[in-house]
Amino acid sequence: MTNARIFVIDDEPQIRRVMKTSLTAQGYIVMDAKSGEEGLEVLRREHFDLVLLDMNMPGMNGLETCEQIRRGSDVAIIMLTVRNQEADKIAALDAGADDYITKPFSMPELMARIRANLRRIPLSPLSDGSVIGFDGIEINVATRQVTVQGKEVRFTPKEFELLYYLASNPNIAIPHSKLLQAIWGPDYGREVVYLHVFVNQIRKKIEPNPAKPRYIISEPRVGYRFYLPTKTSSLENP
Amino acid sequence: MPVRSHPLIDHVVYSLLALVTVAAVTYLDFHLLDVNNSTAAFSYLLVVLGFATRAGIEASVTASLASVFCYNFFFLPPVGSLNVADPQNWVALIAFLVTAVTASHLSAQARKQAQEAGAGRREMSKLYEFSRALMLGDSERKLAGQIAQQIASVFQAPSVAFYSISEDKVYHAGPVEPLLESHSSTEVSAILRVVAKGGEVPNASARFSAVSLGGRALGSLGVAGTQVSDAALSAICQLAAIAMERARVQEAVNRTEFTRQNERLKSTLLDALAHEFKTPLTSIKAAISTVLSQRSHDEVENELLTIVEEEADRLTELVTESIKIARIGAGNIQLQRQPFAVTELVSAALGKLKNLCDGRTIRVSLPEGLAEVDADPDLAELVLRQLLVNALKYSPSSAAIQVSAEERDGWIAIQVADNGPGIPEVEQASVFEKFYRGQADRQRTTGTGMGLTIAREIVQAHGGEIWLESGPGKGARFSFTLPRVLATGEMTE
Repeated sequence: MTNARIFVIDDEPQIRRVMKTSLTAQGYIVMDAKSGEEGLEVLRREHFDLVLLDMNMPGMNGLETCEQIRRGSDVAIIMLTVRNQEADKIAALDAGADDYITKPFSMPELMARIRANLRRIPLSPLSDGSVIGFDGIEINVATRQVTVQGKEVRFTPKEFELLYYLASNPNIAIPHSKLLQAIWGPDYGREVVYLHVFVNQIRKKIEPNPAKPRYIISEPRVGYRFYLPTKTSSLENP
Repeated sequence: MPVRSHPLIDHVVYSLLALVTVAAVTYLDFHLLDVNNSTAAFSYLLVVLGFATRAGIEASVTASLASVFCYNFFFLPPVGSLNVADPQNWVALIAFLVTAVTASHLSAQARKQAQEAGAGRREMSKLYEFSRALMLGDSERKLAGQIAQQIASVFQAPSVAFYSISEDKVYHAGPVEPLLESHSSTEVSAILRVVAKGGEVPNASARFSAVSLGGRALGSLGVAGTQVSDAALSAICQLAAIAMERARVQEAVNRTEFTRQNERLKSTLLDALAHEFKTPLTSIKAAISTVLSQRSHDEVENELLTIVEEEADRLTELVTESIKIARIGAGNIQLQRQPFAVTELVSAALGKLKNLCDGRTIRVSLPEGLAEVDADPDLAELVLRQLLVNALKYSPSSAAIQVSAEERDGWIAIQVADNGPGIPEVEQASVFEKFYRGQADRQRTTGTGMGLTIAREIVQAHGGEIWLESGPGKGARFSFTLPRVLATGEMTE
């Protein structure tokens, strides 16, 4: 996506400087902010396609900023952090980030991530219409909306794409790596923790009892299987 | 406690007083009032009763005998002579004596009870004072000394010794002599040690008692020269035991809290350090990788830019590794377990040591179909790398290094063996200790001396073991175990 608008929120001036220069050179339109508070202020006025958000900032930190952004926006968010700890990744994704990159990173690596997160996977309507419906849940492919028992539930783009991908490939176990590559792009495949967090978030939104999921079933050490009740299938039901 | 005169003097004084009183009553009855026999008998009885209740048995018996004499001489006919044969005499004597004994006994009992109740009350208030004083003791060490001092001051004991088992030390308040006449303080200590362990003390002039709580011996107490009841002494020991236990628990809590805060501080410092180093590295890496990827450069430019990028990567890795090692060294390991193959582990470790392995023979033999390990890949690699570095450092460059692995009861054991000089038996136990260096290599080998300690910490955090088999001239063989991945079905997400 060229001319996409990227917003960099980082308290380190040199990092903002190098990001602005490098990303502008790649054809992106780049703006920056030096704190979470300032970033939120700018986001209220301006539209962006993607936010690069530093996790470790004085004042409002990256996680809080991310949560605040998510309250009013579905913009793609990539969190930047210096710690390569599982707990940090989960915290970032839980706060609503779509992706996570550990500092220091190479520019080609960041570019690949930006491309993957700007990409909206083309959702082809199913043969029997643009809506997948079961048990009072409706997934509308055309409007990218999900309603549960008549109420609209908000999904971030990545959450929607994951749900859509699972629901349109029902009743078969889909490996982690295949899901990651389908939703995040070909550079992904080992980030199983992304799936855990996103699947948990989706379960909270659609499952009657997220602790005992009915639709998105874990296949230990393999991946996930979507159980679609109305769909007749030759494969086994749980 | 009020000052009291000697009991014998008391008895003599009261007995003389009894004689004087009987004489006075006789004079009054016989000379002044000229009363009849019955009135005289009653007045003598009153005297006997009075002395019995006030002055004890000795004075009252004296009063009885004197009364019988006077009654017989002055009032029973024939007046002016002693007629012991008269049965009236015997009746009077027995009446006076029974009155004297019964009344004095009853009053002595009442007095004794009152005295005991008073002493009990005084002891209670002293025990209360003692327990309040112990509440203020903060540490176990200070408390043991305070216990001896407080007992001495609250119970007015001239000499107190308190032995604390945990410190194996005797605290004295006052001189040692009253505790064991003509014995030295070392003997007192020896006795206290015996008492603390539940032993008996033969023929001690002072009182010794064990201090224990819930069957656990904490120490012992020796007190001399004080009127403390057995019940009070046992209460003192109980209070001392509770206070010591309270102080011990408090100290343990303080220590844990201190360690926890220390760990937190270290963690925060390391995080700050990581952030400080990695921020400029991020800018360098981002800038150089942008330049390298943007357009074609001539060969020299390209080579120089690549060197900058590689060195930035190396610096990043050094920072990451140093922080990781510092974290582990501080006892702070966070495992990020995932299943992976041992081949991946070996090739990753050898890949990182490419420069060091240059020109060396490294034989890797891994069995076909070896199960995967469930471990933190980065940390497991750090362990293997550490063992490889050790083998490369300590064996001659012509000697081959063997890397092998096998499955053992749910664990994967990985071995690194070299054909170096080996490690003498005396040094084998110490190689995993912090900052340890082999005798022969102290001068020539570089490194922190933390490598094998870190390796052991990592392996133990996985629940595994690390060990060494070696002997002079036989080379060294380090092995460590990591948990094998559970088969599908054994594991949940």
